[in-house]
Amino acid sequence: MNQSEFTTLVMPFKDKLYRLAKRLLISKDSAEDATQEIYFKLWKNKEKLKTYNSVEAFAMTMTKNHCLDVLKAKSSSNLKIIHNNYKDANNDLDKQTNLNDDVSIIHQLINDLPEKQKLIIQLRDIEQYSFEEIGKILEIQPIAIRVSLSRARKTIREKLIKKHKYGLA
Amino acid sequence: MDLHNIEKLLDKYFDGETSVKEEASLQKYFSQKDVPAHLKEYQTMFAYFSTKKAEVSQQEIQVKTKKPWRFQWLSIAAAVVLLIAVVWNTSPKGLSPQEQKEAELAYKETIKAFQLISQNLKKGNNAIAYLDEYEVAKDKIFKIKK
Repeated sequence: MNQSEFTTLVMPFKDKLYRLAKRLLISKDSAEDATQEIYFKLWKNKEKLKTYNSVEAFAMTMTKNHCLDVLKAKSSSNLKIIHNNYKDANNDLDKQTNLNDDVSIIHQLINDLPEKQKLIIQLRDIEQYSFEEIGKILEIQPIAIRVSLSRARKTIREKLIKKHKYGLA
Repeated sequence: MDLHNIEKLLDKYFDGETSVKEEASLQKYFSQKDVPAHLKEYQTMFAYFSTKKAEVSQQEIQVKTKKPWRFQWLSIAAAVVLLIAVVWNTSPKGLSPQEQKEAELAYKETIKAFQLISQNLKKGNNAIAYLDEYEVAKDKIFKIKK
């Protein structure tokens, strides 16, 4: 496989990988790094890529696993770094201009969800993958996805309504 | 789509039972400006999803990170030289009779020095042996108290 073949095969979903990485790692820079890393790995295994049914699902799984490893390494190092400690210049700017913006509230609500639910919301409501594709990416049964998805959506709704009624998160 | 249908779809949506297509029509419905007041929360939710979907990575992906081969042979050569040097220096060589004698002498001297230390330590130990008496006396007292 030459470089242009490789590019046409794997570049179309670059932004999806990036968005998934950003969902997990929060910071823009870490997400860019992760994306670069994934493409490097894909390039190294470029001969094997054609044997996969869905290169996109494969790359998404790689991204997910890579990001979870990064998070694990961060949390097990002496200095404990929580997601919130990452600085995201964009987010900061958003916050400054629009402190009580509903959109950033939703952002926070989703990031506070358990890992699996967070991933499913990202893949379904943002990327519009089918349950089958999500099952492939996350390596779980499609039936389990519906339950988690419903739970995640309801949690977001509940907290959003609470926030609107009483002004608390 | 009328309001009744939207509400029904929303119920399905929160149960995780809508199809991707149905969700797209919800998305479309909430992207319009006028939405009834009781559905405003959902509007922000769907607005959030579509803004997030529009986010793109801004970096150029580089896959070719191979260094030019020109200078790599240098590092290999350096490694080989180093390896040879290390093996050369650490390989055991036979001792000459003279060296053998010197080594034995040094060994004997060392043993002598150790023995001297040990003897002096013993002397010191004997000197404080009577301190054990205190221990005996203390034991007696504390036994009585029990």
